[in-house]
Amino acid sequence: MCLLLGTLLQINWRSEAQPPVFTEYQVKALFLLNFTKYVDWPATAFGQADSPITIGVIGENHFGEDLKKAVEGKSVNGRKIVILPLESESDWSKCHILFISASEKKRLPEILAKVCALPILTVSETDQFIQQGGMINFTRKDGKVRLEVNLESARQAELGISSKLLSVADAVRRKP
Amino acid sequence: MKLFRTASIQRKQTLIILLTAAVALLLACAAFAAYEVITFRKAMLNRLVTLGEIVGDNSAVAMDFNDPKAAEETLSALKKQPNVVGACIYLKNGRLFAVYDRAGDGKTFVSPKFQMSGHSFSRNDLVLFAPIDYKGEVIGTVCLVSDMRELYSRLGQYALIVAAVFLLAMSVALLLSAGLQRLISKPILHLVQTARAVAQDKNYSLRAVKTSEDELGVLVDGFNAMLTRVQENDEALRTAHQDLERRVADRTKELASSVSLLNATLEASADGILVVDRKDCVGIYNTKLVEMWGLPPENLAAGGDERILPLVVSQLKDSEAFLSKVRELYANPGARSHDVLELRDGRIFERDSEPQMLNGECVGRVWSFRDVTERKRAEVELASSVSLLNATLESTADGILVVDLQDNISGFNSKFVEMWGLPREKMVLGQPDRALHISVAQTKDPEAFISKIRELNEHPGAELHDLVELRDGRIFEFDSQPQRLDGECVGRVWSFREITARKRVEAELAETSSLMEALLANSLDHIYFKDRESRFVRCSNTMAAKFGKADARALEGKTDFDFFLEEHARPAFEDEQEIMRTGRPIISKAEKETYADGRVSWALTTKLPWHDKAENIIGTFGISKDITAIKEAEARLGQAHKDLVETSRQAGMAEVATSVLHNVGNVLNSVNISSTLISDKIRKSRVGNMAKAAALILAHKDDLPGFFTRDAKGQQLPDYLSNLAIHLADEQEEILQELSQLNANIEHIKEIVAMQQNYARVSGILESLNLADLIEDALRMNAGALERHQVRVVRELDRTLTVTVEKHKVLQILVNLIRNAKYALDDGAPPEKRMTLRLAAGAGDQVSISVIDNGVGIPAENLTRIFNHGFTTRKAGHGFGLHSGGLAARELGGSLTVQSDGPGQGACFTLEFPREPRNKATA
Repeated sequence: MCLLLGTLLQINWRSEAQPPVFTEYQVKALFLLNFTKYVDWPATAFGQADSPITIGVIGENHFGEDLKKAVEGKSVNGRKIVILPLESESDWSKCHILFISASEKKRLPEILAKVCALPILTVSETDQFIQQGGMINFTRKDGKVRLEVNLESARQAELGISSKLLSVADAVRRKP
Repeated sequence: MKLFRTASIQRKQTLIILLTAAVALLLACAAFAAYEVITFRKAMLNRLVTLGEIVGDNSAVAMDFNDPKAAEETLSALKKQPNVVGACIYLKNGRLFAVYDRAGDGKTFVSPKFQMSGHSFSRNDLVLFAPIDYKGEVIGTVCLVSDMRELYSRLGQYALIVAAVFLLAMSVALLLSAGLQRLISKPILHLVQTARAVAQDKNYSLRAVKTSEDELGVLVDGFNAMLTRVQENDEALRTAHQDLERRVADRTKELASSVSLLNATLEASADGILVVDRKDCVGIYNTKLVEMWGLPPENLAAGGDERILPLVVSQLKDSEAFLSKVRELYANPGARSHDVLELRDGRIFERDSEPQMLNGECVGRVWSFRDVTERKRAEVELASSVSLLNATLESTADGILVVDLQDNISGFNSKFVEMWGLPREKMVLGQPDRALHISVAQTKDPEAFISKIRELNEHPGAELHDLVELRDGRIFEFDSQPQRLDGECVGRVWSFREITARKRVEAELAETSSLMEALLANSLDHIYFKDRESRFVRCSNTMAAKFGKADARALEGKTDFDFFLEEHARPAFEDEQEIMRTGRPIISKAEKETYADGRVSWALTTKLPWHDKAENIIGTFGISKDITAIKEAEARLGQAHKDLVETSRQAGMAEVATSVLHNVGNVLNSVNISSTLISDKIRKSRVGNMAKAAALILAHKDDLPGFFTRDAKGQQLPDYLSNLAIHLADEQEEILQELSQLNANIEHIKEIVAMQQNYARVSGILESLNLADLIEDALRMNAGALERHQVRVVRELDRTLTVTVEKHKVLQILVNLIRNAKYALDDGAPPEKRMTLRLAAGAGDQVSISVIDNGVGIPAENLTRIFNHGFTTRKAGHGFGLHSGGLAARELGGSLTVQSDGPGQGACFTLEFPREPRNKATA
């Protein structure tokens, strides 16, 4: 009996140990969520001590339900994390993290100009995003999602990015 | 250990001290080492936990952003921790995320099996799992593995220190003990030397020197005192010894003379005699002994009896008993014994053993043996035949007495004593027999019994077999036979047997049997016993008579199939087989019996299993009662009931008819009046005057003109005729009127008759009709009576209700109820006689018709009886009305109920029935 139970448990453990295959956007959703742990927003960015951290997506949303599932029930430093559907440009300023989809490549300068002075972490997946004043850009390398960070842009927006985050970034731009 | 026993006290003391010191020292060192190991391990774990937290904290970001390389870089910082041999990071789901291996060869470190948290020590390493908790979220586990080299090198150092301390401590202990142990050992050694000197030289005047006042000092004092006593005893012993030697020499001389005398006596004895002294040495024996036991004389000649004992024992059947007896006797020198020995060759010796006493003191033992083989054999044979006789005597169920020719008792058994209730003390063998005389007193007829005994005594060879009855009711059967020895009569044997029970059983059996016979002969019920094949075994006379047999025995071996048709015989047979199979009886079953000759009878039968004494079912028995008459009566009763119902229905019809006739009678009155009137009118008619006028005219036929002009009569005739014509026309008018009145009345009668025919004819035919009209019909039938008795009829009728019913039944009930109400009003005579007829729809599809009066009312005790057949309160009533009304209501599928608050309070009868018959098929 014990032997049988043991065998069952072992099988169970093995099946759990199978590396789960994440899609690219599931990984990016997780990364967006994890940014909240490594970025400090100024106190002015929140209404109250327990106001949620909001994430918005501009342009084509490739996440589907993944982003919603990733943040569901999660909280960081006592703040819940919520997805804010963006209906107009005025909604942008309500976000703490703005993900600008690759579809918005042409509008990038315009978007960044509008939010660069606000305490908003801009994230995208577009070449030259960092160079154009964006803060964090997803790149792909060896089939993995990697990060580029523009520390200067973040500092201008009064966002503190943990040095720990920098240790996993491929490229860090410190001064323009 | 042997070494320790032989070592000197000095050495033992040193050893004990050193051993104690060493054990204490080692225990202390072991405790310290254990404590060190525990604290060191705790410290090690604490260090590793701290390290795990640092590593976890630094690796969190790499895990968050799926960067194992960054995590491995973090882990490689562990190089600075020499004791960490490897580390790895697991994701929350147990997947290995990053590995650090100090040696880098993949052998010294293998990532352990995933575990969320915890630690484990093993001989060579410590494995720690520390959960990685970053910003309140557990995202994985770091595992650190540390070797134990540090602990072992620490332990090595401890071992060196312990060894050095141990050596030093032991050296000091040795030096100390060498000096101190002399305090104890020196006085002891002195005592030892003194004792040894006393033992060697037998010089009891030596004394030990006391040096201390402790226990050793007491020991030296005790030793010296002991030596003093020994010295005194030694001298006393020496004096006594010299005295003893002298006395022994004197006695030896005396002894020699008595021994020679003894030897002569011994040889003359027929017994084998052996005398042994207290030391078990053979002293004296005789030749007979040698012969009996076949002993070689040389074995006896000298020394202990152990030489002859094996020879004796080997010849015995039960050597163990012999030896134990010998041992017992030697243990109790004063005891004597007498016993019997059985030898293997079949001989039997009697052995007597007497202590040999000398001046009241036991100095040895005399054994004498006698060969009693022949005597014993004769004894055994006798005992066996006596015991056989006794056993036989006692085991027989008869009471037996044996007397000799002189009437002395020569034998009896306890059964005899018990049967006659004799006093034991009078039954002494060899004494004159009183038993028979005591017995005689107990018999019913002592004279007869005594004369029989006397006769037998006169003829010693006679035999007798007879019965004797006792006063207490017992009955004995007895036998008296002469006892013969070698053909010679030497006595008489009486044997008695109690047969009271047998006689009683015989009597009871006879009585039971006669009861049974009486029952079977006289019972009116049919009683029978059948075997397993359902064949008659016994049966009552009535049973036989039923089958036309005069003798009950004639049925034996026959079965039901011989008398009944298969139709009855088969199921009856199967019933009986079932009873025998299951053991369950059939109680009071009504059976129809069809005989072979076509007769039919009914029987109420009870059948039961028939058991023998061992409770086996050996057949069945049954009692059946002829209930043909009852059955017929039942059938008649059923017919009577049916007739009664019919009668009641007809009675209902009669009531209707009575009403009809009454109405017809009323109308007939009018008819009668009309017809009388008409006949009066016709009788008084002036038509006759017409004839006179005509005759007058005929008489003057020849001179009619003169007659009419001249004759006075003739002149008046035309006026007269015209007046007559007018009068006759009036008369005719009147008669016609009266006739039309008559016609109307006759029409009325026709209607009434038609209505009656209507109701009388239609029976069992369903009609759809307006109930209010039906009620009006019913009222009309009673109209005359109601009017006559000035009853005010109040109608509360729902004139829309139509029903489908048997019209005459409803009418019959209504007529009845209205009539009853009228009687009730007559009897009660209230100021205003009022009868209310109410018709309304009832619950469901029911309609309800109530006939309510304010008449005499009904007492409560009659409410329940009022619908009973034959119940009436009227002198002329026949008690059919309400009974048949109730029956009719039930036939309609409805009910007729009554309600009254008591005498003088009026009554309300309510008829309820469904609008449509419930079951058209049966309606």
